[in-house]
Amino acid sequence: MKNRFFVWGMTCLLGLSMLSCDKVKEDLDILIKADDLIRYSVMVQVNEATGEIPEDLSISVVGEDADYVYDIAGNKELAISGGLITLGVHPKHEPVEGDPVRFSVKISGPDYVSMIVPVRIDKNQFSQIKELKIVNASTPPPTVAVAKEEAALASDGTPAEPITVSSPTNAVTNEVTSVTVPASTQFLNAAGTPVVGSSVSMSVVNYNTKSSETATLFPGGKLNATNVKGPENKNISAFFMPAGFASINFDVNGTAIKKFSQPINVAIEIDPQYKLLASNTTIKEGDKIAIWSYSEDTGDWQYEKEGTVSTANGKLLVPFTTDHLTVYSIAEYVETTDCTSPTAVFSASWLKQDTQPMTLEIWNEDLSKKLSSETIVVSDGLEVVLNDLPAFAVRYKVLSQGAEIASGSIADPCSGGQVNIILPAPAVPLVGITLSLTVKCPDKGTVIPPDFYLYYKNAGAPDTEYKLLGIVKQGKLSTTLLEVGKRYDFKAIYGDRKKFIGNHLIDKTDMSTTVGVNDNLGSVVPDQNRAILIEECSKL
Amino acid sequence: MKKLLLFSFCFLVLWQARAGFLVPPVTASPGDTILIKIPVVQSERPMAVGLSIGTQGAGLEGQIPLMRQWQFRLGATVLPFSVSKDYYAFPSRATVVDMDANFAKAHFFVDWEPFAEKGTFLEKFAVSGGLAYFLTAKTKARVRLRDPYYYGDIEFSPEDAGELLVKSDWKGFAPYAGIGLNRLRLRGAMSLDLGLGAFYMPSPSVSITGTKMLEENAQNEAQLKKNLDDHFRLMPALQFSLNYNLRKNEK
Repeated sequence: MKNRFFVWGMTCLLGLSMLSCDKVKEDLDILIKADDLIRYSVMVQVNEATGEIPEDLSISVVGEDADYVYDIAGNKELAISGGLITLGVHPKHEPVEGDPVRFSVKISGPDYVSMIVPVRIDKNQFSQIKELKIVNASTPPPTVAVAKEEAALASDGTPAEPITVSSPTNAVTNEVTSVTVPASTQFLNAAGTPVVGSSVSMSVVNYNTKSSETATLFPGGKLNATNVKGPENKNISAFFMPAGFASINFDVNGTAIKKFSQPINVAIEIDPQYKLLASNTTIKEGDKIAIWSYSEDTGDWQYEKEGTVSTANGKLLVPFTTDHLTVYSIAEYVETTDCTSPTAVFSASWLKQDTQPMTLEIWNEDLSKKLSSETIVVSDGLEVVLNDLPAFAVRYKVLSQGAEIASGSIADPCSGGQVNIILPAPAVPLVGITLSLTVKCPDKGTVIPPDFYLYYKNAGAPDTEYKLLGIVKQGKLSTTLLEVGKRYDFKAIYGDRKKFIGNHLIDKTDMSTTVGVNDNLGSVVPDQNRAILIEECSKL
Repeated sequence: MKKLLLFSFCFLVLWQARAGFLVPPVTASPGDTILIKIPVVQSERPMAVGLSIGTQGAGLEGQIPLMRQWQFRLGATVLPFSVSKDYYAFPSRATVVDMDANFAKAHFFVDWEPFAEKGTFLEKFAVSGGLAYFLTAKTKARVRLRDPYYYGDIEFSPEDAGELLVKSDWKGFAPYAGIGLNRLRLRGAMSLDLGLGAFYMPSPSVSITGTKMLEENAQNEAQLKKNLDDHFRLMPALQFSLNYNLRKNEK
């Protein structure tokens, strides 16, 4: 005891100085509140155009604000897993009024047709979901026709005779894109240097613009684009109405060919039912329509020239010559440079505190073309800025679990204002289920987990059935999509980690679970989960 | 606690009476009234006033000898201080702490000098008990991260992370027990007292408030209070008193 007194007396300065007494901090640790450090996020969900979940995809971010984009766990190195990744904006570079965060997401993978998707995040647009379709060239959907051919080259690396490659037709897609390279044409890389090889690999991907998937398969994942170099090199924003588009890629010895020593011939067959914007009449031979190119490096469109519709083999096509390779589109456009986006306000008092992912579709006025589609996690009173609308009247549809529950029109989507969308209550009142997740960190007690996106499917259903359940904010998610008494599989994604909870019974409306080293660690890989928990907790 | 102190004081007085005073043998019959006189031997020691300094801070103290082996001490001390520490480690991160403390108390002690008449150095020895009232006994610590915090690859400076304000307050009554050496003669009427003991502090109140990324640390309050209750109720005290004796008749 005397010794204790001595130690305290001498080292603790009355025993009150917290600065030198370890006893004060016994079982204490400094907690970092990291759950809302990244406030602005974009969930990117990539599926193959056929609905399959793509694997081995690579993702990168380019563009003016790319330096400030991380995954939701704050990692700069991005990894997309199961077609899903949540991107976040650096907290010190959040969007402000009139200065949105802009960047582009590049996604590629072996055998996949690369895509580059622009992303814009406005002030208060804290979460958004980008649902993208990527084409697997080996298993394309019927609305996409892929030709892959290899042709021998002469010893000087040029074709000894003209090479022609054409996309095939199928029961759904009758339009063809053909590319012909004249004899003695040199293949050049992006820098303009000749690439010499014994053969050239050619890929021509033709997209069917009659398809309802046109908007999602269109380069950039949407029909509206900014940073467009328009006619007379004018910098504009434009909403495209494509009559046909195709992606053309060549490579020699693994080097992408971007240019040619002389013009090559391209002919893109177009949708014969396409209606011209100005006259609302069906396109015909002799009509003029613009030819656009799309840079797969920058994600920007550029006006190439005016094309003329001609006829061959009873089909309409737009032939042209070019000296570079990329994605080409035959499309009319409306300028949206000075547009002000309207704001949709959702009224759904029957949702109470719950949320429900719904699909908002935008169609042209006669409902013949779907112009865009996006998933929105709807809550009562939610306000969503409707970016990327055209400068002509459109109609909207709101779908809940695939069924249309509301529709209306927006006469002038380019003039801002408010669009009130009233969502009627379902005939059978829905039961709200609250999922609550508490995380207990070793030596730190209860912490709030960072926000993450949660997916669900009926227990045992194939993985392709996973649908977005909602965003778990502050450890909580309230939804009407689950039913008491049913079993579900859940999938959560955080950073590059995916966690599954299989065959989980919803047995009450208030489902709470605690994750901790001495609590629930799951039944699949509890040891791995314990290690993850300890590692993640150490960051807090 | 007050009852315990009162009981202890009475016990000491009775022990003193039993051990030190002569009680004449009495022959009595039933019904007689017996008057027992306990002669109180006045102390010959002078009253004294002085300055004190010690782990409780600096202050004033007055000594009032009561009986041959007893004296009262009344006094007050104040102790304002600040401490900074650039490295104070918690399990997962290091912090920088700036602490301000302010202690002020008034105390009433009773000294018992069991060897007062031995005529040796031992007569300076005293056993002390008493009670203090801490008018204020506050610490206020500002805690910041020493190093940047990384969320993945995103760096947050200690300023970005915010600050913790940790307050504790032991205000209230605190009993005291200790030992000491009294009246170590210096020169003339000056003498020195030395005391070593401990206060049993009230259970402190604790508050933790955090800003920005540290705002959830309020949940550490209960554990901090437990730690202070478990380890920081007994407050050691070392005090030196420089006294001036008001009457120069001390032996």
